[in-house]
Amino acid sequence: MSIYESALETMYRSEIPAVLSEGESRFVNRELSWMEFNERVLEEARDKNNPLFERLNFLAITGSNLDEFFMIRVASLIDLVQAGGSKPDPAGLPPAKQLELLLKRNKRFFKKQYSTWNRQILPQLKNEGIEIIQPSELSEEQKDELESYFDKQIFPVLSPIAVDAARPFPLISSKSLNLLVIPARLPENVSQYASQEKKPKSKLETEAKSKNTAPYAIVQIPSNLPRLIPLTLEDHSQSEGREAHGFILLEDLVRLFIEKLFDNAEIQSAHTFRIMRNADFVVDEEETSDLLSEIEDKLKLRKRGEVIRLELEHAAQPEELAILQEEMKVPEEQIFRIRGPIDLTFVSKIPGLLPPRPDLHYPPFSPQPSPAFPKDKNVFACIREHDILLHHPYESFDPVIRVISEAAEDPQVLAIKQTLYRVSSDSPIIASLARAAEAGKQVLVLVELKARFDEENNIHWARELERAGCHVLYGIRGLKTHSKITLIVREEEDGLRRYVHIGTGNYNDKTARIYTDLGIWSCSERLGEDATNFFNMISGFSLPHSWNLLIPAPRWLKADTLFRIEREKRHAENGQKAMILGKTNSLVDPEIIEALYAASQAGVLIRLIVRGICCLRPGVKGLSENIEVRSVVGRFLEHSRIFYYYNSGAEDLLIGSADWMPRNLDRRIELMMPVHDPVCRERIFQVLDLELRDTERAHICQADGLYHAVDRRGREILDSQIELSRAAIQAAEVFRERAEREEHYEPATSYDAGRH
Amino acid sequence: MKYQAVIDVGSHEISMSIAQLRQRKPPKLLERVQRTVPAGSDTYRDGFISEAVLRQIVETLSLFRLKVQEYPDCQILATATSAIREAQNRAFILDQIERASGIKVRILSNNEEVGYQLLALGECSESFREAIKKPSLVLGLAAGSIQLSIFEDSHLLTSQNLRMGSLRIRALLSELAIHSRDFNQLIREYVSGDLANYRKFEPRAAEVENFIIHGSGAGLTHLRKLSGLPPTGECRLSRRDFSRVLAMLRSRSEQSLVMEEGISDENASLLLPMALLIDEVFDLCDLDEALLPDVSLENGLLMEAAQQLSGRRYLRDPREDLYSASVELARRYQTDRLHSEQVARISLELFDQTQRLHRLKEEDRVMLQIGSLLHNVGKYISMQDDDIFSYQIIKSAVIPGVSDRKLEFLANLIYYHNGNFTRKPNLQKYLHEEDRLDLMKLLALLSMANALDASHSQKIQKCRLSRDEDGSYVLNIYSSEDIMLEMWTLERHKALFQNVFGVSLQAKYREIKA
Repeated sequence: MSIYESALETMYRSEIPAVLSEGESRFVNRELSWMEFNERVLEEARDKNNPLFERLNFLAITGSNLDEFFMIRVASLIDLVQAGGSKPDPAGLPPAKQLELLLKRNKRFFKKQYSTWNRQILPQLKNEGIEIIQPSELSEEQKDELESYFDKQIFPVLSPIAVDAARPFPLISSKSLNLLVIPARLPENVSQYASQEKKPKSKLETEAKSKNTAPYAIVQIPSNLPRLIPLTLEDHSQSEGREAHGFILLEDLVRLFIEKLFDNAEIQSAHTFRIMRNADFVVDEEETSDLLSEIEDKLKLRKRGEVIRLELEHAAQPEELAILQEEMKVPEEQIFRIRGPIDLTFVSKIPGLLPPRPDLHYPPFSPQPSPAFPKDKNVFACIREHDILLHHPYESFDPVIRVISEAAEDPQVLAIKQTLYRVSSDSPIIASLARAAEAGKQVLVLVELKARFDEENNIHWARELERAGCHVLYGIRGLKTHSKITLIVREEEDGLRRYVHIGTGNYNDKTARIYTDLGIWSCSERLGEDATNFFNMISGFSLPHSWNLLIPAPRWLKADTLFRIEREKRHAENGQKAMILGKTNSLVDPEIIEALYAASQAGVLIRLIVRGICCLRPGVKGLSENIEVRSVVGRFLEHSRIFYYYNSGAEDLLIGSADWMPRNLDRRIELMMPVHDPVCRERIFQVLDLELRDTERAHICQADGLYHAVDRRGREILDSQIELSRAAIQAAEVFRERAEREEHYEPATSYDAGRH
Repeated sequence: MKYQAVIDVGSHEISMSIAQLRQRKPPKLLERVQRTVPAGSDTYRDGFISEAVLRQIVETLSLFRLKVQEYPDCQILATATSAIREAQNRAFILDQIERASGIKVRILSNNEEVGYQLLALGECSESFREAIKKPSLVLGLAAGSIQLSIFEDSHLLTSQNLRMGSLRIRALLSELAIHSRDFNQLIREYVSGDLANYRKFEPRAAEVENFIIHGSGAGLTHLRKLSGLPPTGECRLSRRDFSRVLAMLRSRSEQSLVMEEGISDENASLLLPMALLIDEVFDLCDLDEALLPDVSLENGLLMEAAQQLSGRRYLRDPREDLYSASVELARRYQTDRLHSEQVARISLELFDQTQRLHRLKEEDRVMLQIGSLLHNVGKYISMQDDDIFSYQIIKSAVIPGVSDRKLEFLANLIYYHNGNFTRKPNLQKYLHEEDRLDLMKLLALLSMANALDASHSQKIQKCRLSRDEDGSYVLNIYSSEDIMLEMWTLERHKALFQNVFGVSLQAKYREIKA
């Protein structure tokens, strides 16, 4: 069955299309849509069918996701509101309204997040013999054990900072965990904190006391100490004969012995809190010639941004809240009362503190070797035979590393060029590029310094590459380089040949194990010419007049995409079959959405797999009845971008680095490429087909922007990620068996010779 | 594997092509890069290249040099055309470019530029080779000037350079743009004036059957795209489509071209002048379609490099254009064709038979042939002082592929073709020092050959050189007619030969029975 037929057959259609109410926008607000994405991740944490430790992982991811979202998106909104911005977004919401809805949504989210932790995860952990002990539950022996640990390991590291009339509120680092400590009474000699001499109470202290501004202290919980401290449990027996494991949270431990920090003064209360500061900044490229140092300076400034969120333990008293509110200048709606340990990202580390529990993890899966890259064959010979598709993490990222590594060693290779957005620390690719430069090859690397939160890492290895002799380009002014492309120029007997890799994912061997991404290796001349022109373009030469295959952004891709959608619409208007399938991480661009709406109204069948943000309202009568949007969230992070246009049967298929977002299409260097190789196409069709038929990991987007699990009635139970894993294992197995058969040479013996 | 990079420092952009040179095959283009550097704006407006533009040139060439390093042992050949050629400070410019970028740039004469373009067309476009079998007008577009060439029977007849490239027009008329009510019409008037002269100069332009447009640079590429044609590769432009584009360009501002068509600022302002130029030439030849082969100067440079490496034979020998243009020039100035051809034949016979004496190269033989064909062109202007007029005519002629130095050589060869070095003015002072001896050698042969057709009756059938037992040379002159005049004239002109080569020469008549 062709992909067209399969997509047609398995499309979800609501029997009663939704209708937009009066004044309701055709678009979903982007930020609220993102919250729905995070909600879907939270659902994975709540899904009892997922192994417990994986649920922990998902829960931690929702926390880190939300932190990043707040620091970037919410912070931008707050800036906009403070600056008096009133222009509504495509969904018709002015910034103030967006912020209001978003903060409310966040409060609901936090509630659900911690409900998940307290009511589902904790009890499940306990069932498995894993407990997080509260201080009130500790026995005396346990307290003694912990006190010894506290005295030796924690106390020396703590630095309580007193705050009173004479000592200002300290600068609290963004995302750090802190205790607000309120003593029951002033210690006898408060001045000990200020100087070594005993002094009578200062005028300020007297004033402070007379004004009832009692001093308090801030104790930062060290982030370089383990958040969870193992405890010896008295009762080792647990169900099913497993050993029990107990932990106490670091902040609880500090709180347990907090008096030690204050000369044994009685402490009225000590509650944890955490702030989040605005982390967004724009690198001022045009006014500084040293781009690197400008980035480094801005990095130091990051901790000093405005406070945009305050999380405070729910049990904290009103006066504690008042103190923090006053000092942080954070409005009520940006304060979140937390019923549990603040910052749940630590929960993903729990499995690492325990003996292996494979039963609480997903069944192990290792990325499979690609049959197209046998170990004993020269990689370039492999690519010369035909284009090669790699689908990570189902297939290993090792061939990509191997090609670059072999290119570095190969005396016939003249040049290696690559764009790098996010790489792993100790990246083998970086090492290969450095080796290549040291071997005298021309190595050109475009490093994107503005890869958010990876700037320090990128600066570090960019400098390493330069030292090795690589020609390093530090991005393009005004544009973030997001494309994933490698070009290797090799001198061969019949002339120069170019080997090109185009991918949807970063050249990062670590994330390649958890993100789903596609990449194609090819030595097509036309593609090689394009790749050469692309690198010349980003090196500062004039734009090429045309492209054979590649479709770069920001200049060409959007127009090409709109053209293809429009063409599909015309086909439908002419009564021909018309279909668009798209897989993208986000769908935000209003022009693309409007084009899709128009295509749907003309009769084009549109099925979209949008992992994250989707501002399109599917299934609306008269607008998007022919559009289905689904999101696949699972073990692996869906990351690949695939686009299919039926195009009167020509079936255009493209992969690349760009999502359907304005930032990708208008403000980034991106690359999309049509796929022509029949084997590669077939495999990509298989990916699309499986994800469109997924009934386990997929959620269907409704017209209101909320997502529901797929209705499985009458449908095959199918988990696309499991199916793709199986397919990769099977392919590798088949190849292994064939290779073993072919490798088995039986030497003739003298006995055999004698017989003849 | 051999790699060659050729760089064209043009009036509006600097481009580089890198190719792999292969034995007995055309070069394989590996990559082409370009950068807009409007050197011509300075030159055409002010007469010299500014510091700012020089910096851009140096920066671009340095970048190109880096790129070339990707190819092992890649040779660089860099040439410049009118923007630097016409700049008063060109000597400093070239020196500073070489010092700062490490690249030595050679200025091409207009004749050399035409030669490479025709070489590129001949080698790279089968459609061109086919088209020029019939009368064809070839329009070469450059930022500084245009080149109009007429072909027939695959031979170049004439080629004329008009200093009205799009960039030059813009630079010269930019002041008037603010004041003029109809700048489009102003450009058209400027262009049509010179073209009217051309029409008179070359009436055959109105009778051609094929119209071919070529040129490097982004301007023509944008024009192709606006016409709905692919930006690269050979194609045909219909008059109708072109007229539509011209109407569009007339009605739209440069800004809208930049914003809506994605054309760069620098190129947007050149499109309309270019289109108006093409329109005028379309009117001139009155055809409905133009062939657009996608070739550039760099293709010609690469072809020559490939030929020098591998001895690969050209598909269309550029010397044919040299020869046919010379014949056409001789025709235009109504020289005695039979006499010129006779002188050419004899001088080449002498050249071939005295190789051991003169040790000159093939290119000198070509010069001798051309010189023979054109030695009397000046008689069109004056029968008395034809030599100086011959010199001037040659100096202003378009002879494709001939450098300025060679053109000076040729002009001197024609000026002194009778071997009389006492005439005034003394033009040898303009010769390159190294060329003087070679000139003498050729003059020795040319003057004898001319003498051997003193009657302009083509009586000599052949000449054969032999040596006596004492080593002296004998020139055996074969004819079936009375050649007393020729023999007498030869006696008066053989001294130069004897002096230059240090041999004694005796002429003997050998009768051929009729």
